[in-house]
Amino acid sequence: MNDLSKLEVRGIRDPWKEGVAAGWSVIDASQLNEDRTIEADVAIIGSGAGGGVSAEILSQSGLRVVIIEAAKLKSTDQFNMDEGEAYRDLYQEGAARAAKDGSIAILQGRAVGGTTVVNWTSSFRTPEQTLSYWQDNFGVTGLSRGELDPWFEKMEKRLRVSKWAMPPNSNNNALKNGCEALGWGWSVIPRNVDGCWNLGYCGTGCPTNAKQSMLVTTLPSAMENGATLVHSAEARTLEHDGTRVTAVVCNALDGRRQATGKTVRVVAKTFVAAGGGINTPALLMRAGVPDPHERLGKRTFLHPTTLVLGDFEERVDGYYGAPQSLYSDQFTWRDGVDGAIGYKMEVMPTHPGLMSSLIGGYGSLARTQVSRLPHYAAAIAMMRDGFHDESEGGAVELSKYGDAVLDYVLNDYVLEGLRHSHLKMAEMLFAAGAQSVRAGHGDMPFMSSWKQVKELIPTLKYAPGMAGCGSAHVMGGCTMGADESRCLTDSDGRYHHLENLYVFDGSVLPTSLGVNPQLTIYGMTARNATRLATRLQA
Amino acid sequence: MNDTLALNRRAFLRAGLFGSALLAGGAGVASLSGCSAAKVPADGFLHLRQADIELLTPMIPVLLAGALPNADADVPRVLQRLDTLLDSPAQGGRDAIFQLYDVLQLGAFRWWTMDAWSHPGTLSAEQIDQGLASWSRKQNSFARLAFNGLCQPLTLAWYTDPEIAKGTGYPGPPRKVVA
Repeated sequence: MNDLSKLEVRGIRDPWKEGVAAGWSVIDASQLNEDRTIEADVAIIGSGAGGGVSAEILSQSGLRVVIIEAAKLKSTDQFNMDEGEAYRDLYQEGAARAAKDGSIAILQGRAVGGTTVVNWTSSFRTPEQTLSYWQDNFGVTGLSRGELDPWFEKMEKRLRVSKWAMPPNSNNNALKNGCEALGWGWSVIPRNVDGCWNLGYCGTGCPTNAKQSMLVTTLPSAMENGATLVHSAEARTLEHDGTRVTAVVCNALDGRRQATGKTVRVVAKTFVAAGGGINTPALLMRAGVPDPHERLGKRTFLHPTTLVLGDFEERVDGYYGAPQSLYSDQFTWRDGVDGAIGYKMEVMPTHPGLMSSLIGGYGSLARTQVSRLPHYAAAIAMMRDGFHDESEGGAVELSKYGDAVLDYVLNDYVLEGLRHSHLKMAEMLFAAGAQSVRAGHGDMPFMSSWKQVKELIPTLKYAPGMAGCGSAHVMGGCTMGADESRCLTDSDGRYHHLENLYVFDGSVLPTSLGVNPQLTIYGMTARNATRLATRLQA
Repeated sequence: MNDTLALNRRAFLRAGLFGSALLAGGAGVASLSGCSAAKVPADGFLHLRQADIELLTPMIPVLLAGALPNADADVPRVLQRLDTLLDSPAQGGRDAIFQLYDVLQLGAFRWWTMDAWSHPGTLSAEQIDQGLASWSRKQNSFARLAFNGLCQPLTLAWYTDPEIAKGTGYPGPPRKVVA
């Protein structure tokens, strides 16, 4: 039996503890006793993939940068691999974010370093098909694969991205075995890690600094360049006159994420919105920025994701080891780019809190299933949404409290993909040697033969709340492109209707990607932030 | 009952990783269920109200059957962990969870979902189990989203307890030692 619980992780430095001691400019807004105004050349709202890369590049060019982050600063020394603590401290809404109707759970990071602190490290370049689709359908320019490749290469070097060289864990190996038995393609995932201990706790904040998240790479670099980080400060609105933004106004938050009543106002010449999908459109909606065609928050995509569990006789221990190291694109383009919805297959880690809630149900049956946890391989499929007329994605709305809510309806187009992926992943796990398999559907038991599953799944009702669905990738809501009637930013990320507002995060993506999004955001932001730096220095 | 069901169908559901809940629109279920006065958290809780505790207390040993090492004696700890979990969602999301608890105070809603008008406090564990079984099989999207909203927060709250997590066969994480 694989047991890492006796292992000690010690001797790891905490770059933020050292940095703060050495004089980094860090403001904890929760401690402010009075309102505060800060001036900057560039205010960056959000510190994830977009904000982190922007902060490094803009600060390198000599600009005074202020980074604003809603989350409380939490760094390496505090990453203790406790699942519950991580959900509470490092995820949006304590990992309770969901689509408005409750049908899709959304795992999105909320940390200094954003989702990069908790993602599973998969680092893919944007597929050529996706970039061509944007060019043809949204008038996106300058972002062909050939034009982006140098930026991907730059960020791959910066973040130590390379194909995972160690053997996959048994969870990932099940994907490989199943694909090989069926003659399906599979390959190795490039990961942004340096000296990875292969523990499996990417999702709770890397305890060894191996994951090259923004927390340990671009943000420390920006701090060394003199940037200021204001954390525990939630951007609530922008001051603007309809042509230019003059300030971003933030609520200071206490340890329970409640407003303390104090505000931080950052006055700057240029603003970079980098709060990610859902949050960036919500900020712009609260600020009432010009949006003549009512596009803010529209076309928000999720890669709706399904789960199938395979119960193996031997232990899989899917909570240990690099969580994602192999993938299959066998069905990613199953009906071309814009036909029936395609999906990428990967696996997910099986930590008990997350997995028991995904297993679902109640009582003794749920307990029986949860008790097989060490024996499960957990295959997932992420639907490539946004490439079809019947896949317009969700729309961000504001609750009566001003918080973001995503209205995303699982329609028949997406539900067909959920069913298809359940079938294919079940087939894959049986082929890999699972003794029984259960798709993430409330009406499906564990079944011991592919024949039984093949007969049952077509008879099940696929509807919200019945077929399980989650998301770990939020994309869109501030679509980029040339057509102003459909797009809010140009291909450089500049907001069409405000001259000094830029959007450098996943919200500019016109569709979902078909791959885990971090490297797309890194590469595009590196390009756009470099262009912005040049413009600001001219 | 028809009025109540119409109200329910008009409502929205919202589920987190750990749950879904009911956003009953318009008049508000709290007033229908007669608990509008009881909006304050119970003693020792951040969010859960006395009515929620009375509702959930008889249901938890059934919902988490087999997962409570100390049987009914674990229920207060489950409630505390649930309460802590409910501190993280945005206010709108948390409202939705409590609207689910409110609507569960309605006999009509319980009859529709669990085939039982009676408050869970007056039912046997076996009757609650039968009611949940019926609810969990309903071929109705709204009912199933609500069912997930009841179960998932409790499951997540409980299985993120490091001691309970070990009961799944998970050996636990490595130990972080800070210099």
